[in-house]
Amino acid sequence: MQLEPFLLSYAGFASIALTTQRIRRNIAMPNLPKIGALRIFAAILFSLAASRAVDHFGAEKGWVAFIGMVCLSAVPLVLMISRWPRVGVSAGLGAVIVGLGAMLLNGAG
Amino acid sequence: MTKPQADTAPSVRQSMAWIHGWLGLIAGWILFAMFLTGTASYFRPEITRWMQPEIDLAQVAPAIAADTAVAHLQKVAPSAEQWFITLPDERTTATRIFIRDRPDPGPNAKPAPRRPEMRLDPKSGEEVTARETRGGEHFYRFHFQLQIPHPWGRWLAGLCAMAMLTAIISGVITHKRIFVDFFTLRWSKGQRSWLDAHNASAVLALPFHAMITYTGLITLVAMYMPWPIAANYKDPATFETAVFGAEPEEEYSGRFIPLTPVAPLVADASREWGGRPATMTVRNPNDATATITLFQSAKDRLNARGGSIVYSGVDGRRLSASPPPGPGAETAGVMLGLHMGNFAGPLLRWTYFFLGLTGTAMVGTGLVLWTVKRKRPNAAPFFGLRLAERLNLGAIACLPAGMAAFLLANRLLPASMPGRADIEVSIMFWTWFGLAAVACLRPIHRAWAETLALAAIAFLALPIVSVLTTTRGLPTSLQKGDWLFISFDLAMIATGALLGFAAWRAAQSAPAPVRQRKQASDAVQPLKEAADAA
Repeated sequence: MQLEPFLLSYAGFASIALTTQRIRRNIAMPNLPKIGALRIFAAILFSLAASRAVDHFGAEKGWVAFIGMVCLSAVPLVLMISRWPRVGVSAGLGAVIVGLGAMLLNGAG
Repeated sequence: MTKPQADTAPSVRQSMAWIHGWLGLIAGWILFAMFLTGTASYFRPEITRWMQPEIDLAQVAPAIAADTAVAHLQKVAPSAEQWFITLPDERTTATRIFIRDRPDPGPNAKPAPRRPEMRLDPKSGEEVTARETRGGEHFYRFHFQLQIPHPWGRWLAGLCAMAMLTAIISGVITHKRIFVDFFTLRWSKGQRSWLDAHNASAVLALPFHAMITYTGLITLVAMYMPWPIAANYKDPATFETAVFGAEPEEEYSGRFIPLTPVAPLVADASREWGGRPATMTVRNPNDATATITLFQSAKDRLNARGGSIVYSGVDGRRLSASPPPGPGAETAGVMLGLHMGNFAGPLLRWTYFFLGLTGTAMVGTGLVLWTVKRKRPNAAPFFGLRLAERLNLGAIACLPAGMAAFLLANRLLPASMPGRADIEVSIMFWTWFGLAAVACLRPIHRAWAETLALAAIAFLALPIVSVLTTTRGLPTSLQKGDWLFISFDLAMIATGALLGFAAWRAAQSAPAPVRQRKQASDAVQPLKEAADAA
């Protein structure tokens, strides 16, 4: 699935968003992971997004695709967080599941 | 001893903010139009196809398209000086041909009259007729030529792009809380909201904005900075030859030898490049000196300037090929490719499109922010502020209406009307500037809501008008699975909805009429008095 880099980047940004005190306060969710863990998780997700982009689009176009999708994925997240912060952040979890699921399926295929 | 000026001199950040604000404002109105039309032109072939609904062709392999085009040209212009053939691909289904006739041999003979470009069915080679239109090419040309005669339009676009690059750099220096504010977008908070929207649209897609601005400038760098070429090459054409190679230009011999079949040459070039050829030129067809040049498509690689191979038109021998690009030519080609995005498949093209819209939003919100920041609640706006407000309205709200009018004109003007391509373009500008002029007669807040609503209605009307005037309306497209027309109509509905939302928000934010405000202040007065007393 070509959208994997987008989904993984969205999830990566959602993780970074959760490291800011303002958003943690706004969503008021219990048992949020620690900030350090979220940062590491975001770094892993962005690395996976880059790897999937290069895999799908080739080494030449892959990096362009990765940067483009990283930039674009933050836009819906910020729009969601501005109105429905919980939904925006929770969608990150959905994006991780779909993105990683598609990645594993592709790997298995 | 001189007094230290540290207290009075502006800081670097303040200076950058000043540059950012003023350069952004002065170039902003043109930049908004450049960004919006440039974004639309990522779908240039698709827009053209939507604007010529009569052309509905099946896709064929490039070798077949080349063969059928040559067969057609053999019938209509066997002894022309040169044939130009643009082969179809998955985005442009028709083959395009252009013929350059041989001039008369006499010393005082006039040059042969220019023939119009023709479109062919790639399967049969038959000529396809459709309504005259500039299509998506109009938006593409406008975004860097601004409908101003050459070279002034390109110069103006270049100056605005330079201002944009400066505004990006100064904006990054000015923005103190670039990471802290990364996810911040607060609605309905006046100036604060506009600043957030400007920051968000700028920062989130900053790599794209920087890339698109810089590569846009580099695309026309030889025009803006011709001196390095002028200093090193006496004739600029020599520079072109050194970088891109030259086609052989053998004199016409007049000895008839039938042209070799072109399909094997297309297959040979495709094998060598690992991609397809995009265009083909045949020089001196059916002559002993005939040559066939194939040019590589930019669709398979980042470098927009592909190579070329020259074959003999007599026996299909490979005669020469363009030299491998040097580092400079390769870099310039990649930058051009990055800017135009021709290498992008559907998903990446949509990514480019949405990032382009983010850039448009960045310029638009920046323009509005400039005026909102300078408004004082109880003071009449000064002349410059009123002018900026009106120009903002003319650029941000009226241009989309003009673009919709261009598309509506394509459907509403009679298909066989002579000169309709130019009339479509004129309608866009008349609507754009006419609406901006009419909006000047209305109070500014109402003008925003009304103009945006008109633009929304125009976009929403497009699929309806398309149903009424063509056989490829949305219901038929859905039945047939014609995804280009379905996507186009849905995109128009989405654009209309977005503009409608903007109109609604503009209507909501309009200040209450004076009478109501007075009543409101009358009601608040006793409370104030009570508070004072307390």
